[in-house]
Amino acid sequence: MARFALRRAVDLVVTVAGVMTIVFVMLRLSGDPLGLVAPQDASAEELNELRHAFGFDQPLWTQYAQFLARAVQGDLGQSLQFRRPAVELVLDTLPMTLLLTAAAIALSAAIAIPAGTLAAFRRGRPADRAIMTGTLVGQSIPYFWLGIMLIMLFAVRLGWLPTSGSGSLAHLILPALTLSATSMARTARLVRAEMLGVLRQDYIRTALAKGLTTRAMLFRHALRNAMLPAMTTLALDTGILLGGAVVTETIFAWPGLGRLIVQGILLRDFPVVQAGVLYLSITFVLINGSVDGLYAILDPRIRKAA
Amino acid sequence: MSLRLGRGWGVAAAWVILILVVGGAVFADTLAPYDPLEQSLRNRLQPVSWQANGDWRHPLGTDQLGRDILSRTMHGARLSLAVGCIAVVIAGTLGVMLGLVAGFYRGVLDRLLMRLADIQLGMPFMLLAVLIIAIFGASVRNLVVVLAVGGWVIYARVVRVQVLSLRERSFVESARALGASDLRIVAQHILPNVVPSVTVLASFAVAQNIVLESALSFLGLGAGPRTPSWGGMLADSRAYLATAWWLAAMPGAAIMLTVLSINTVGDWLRDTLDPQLRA
Repeated sequence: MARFALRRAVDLVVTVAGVMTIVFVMLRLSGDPLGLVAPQDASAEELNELRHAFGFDQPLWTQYAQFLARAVQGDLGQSLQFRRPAVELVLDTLPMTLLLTAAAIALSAAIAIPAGTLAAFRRGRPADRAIMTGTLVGQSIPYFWLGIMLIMLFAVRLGWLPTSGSGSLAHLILPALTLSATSMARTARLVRAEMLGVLRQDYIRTALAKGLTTRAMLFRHALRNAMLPAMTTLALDTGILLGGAVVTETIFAWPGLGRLIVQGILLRDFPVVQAGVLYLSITFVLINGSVDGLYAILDPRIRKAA
Repeated sequence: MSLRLGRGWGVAAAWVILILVVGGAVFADTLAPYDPLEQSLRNRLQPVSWQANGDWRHPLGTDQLGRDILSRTMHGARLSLAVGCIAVVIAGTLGVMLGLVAGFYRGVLDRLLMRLADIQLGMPFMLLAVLIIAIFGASVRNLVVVLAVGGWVIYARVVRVQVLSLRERSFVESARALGASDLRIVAQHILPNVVPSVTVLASFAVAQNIVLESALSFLGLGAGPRTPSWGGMLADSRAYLATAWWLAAMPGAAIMLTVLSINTVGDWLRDTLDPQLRA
């Protein structure tokens, strides 16, 4: 177990370092970074001074080392728009993104697992067909369009829920539903397929033969064995959802990190974009890493294989 | 099996929709009833033709500037399909080549490439896209670049794994015994065997690219406002949700129908060409 954990930890560090390198290289690829910080009417002399002040006259690898050193200390520059450290802004908004993503994953699991189980149990019946059709639609509907249509229906027409913003549980419902749709559909399909496999097993027949109720059989024996693959997709989806939050937050004016990044791009506030991308990526890597760890605890076979 | 029964019809319907969408996109200049950029403030926000006060001159209604929605949707299809397909070709070529080299020669290059793939997958794609667009600016060319950069990994991984097993097969050994060069073995004996998987991956990737392109255009990170795009239309529609539902409904329905059709065709291709990819 310790060796497994160590390996994963090394992987995490390498991946985060890789992401930081990508961010650094890209910002340097964009040309002279001085254009981003210098005032438009700066003279050649002032430009040189600035270049020296920011260390842009150093060799590239020195700049890279400095970037890494500063990033590790949590210094990713000042926001050009808000005149505050970029990292502060990022840390202010990150919890809202995590809340939204967690709500979406929870919603996805809460609906997809029972739906997939029901579909498998009622295979070929109307309930199965309705659920499968729903998942097909859910997998093909662009989530940002779904979000707009949900606003139109539940906020504008029916007036049941707020159109955008944050502050209450009601504000969370539509964005979380929007963000979770694709993942929900995929997970329901997977749970159904896994359950179909499990329900054919001998131990299910045994469970029923010894007089277990259907419900006990389904939840205590069948579902448990179908859960690991379901958890795999849900975990992988967490990352996709973190990326999707960028769009969803913009639709619903949800004050999270995704919206901050998009605003940063539109306002050309590069330190914020850089810090935001870095932190969201690190969150993503950490989530994936802990999911791997969780598997190792849940399924001893994985531990041995590693 | 009950799901299978309707399958033939589903695939046929998907092909028909796809042909209509592609046809409408390719011939948008001649088929579209209006110039997609032509404004007519007198005709602004006209509802779809089948509503009470609708008008058949604008089958899908007009937007806030009086532009014809049908024409804009057709031109939007052109952008989405072109960007989606070109990106797939670039990503596919790059990914297949890297996958072939990595799987065939193994060694340092292989480990390096796979590590790079891991790092790239360590970052949600949307973030990578946003970062690239932030730096290089929003344009059609950069949309293609972003989607191609994001897309190569899947081909490289799948091809690499297949090559790892193919290179040990006896027909490769025979070719080598006959004195075939590495290039000849890869091109003549290995490449044809990975084509089915790559075709299937590519078909799903086109659908995925269309969604990503629309999402980026929606955020204002795609083609500029002068280029009609499904995502851009959706972004504009948000101010009129209470008054003009068709503004949001039409481009979204176009995305969904196109994606659904491509995925259905992709499923069919997969089951026909490469059942192994199912897992």
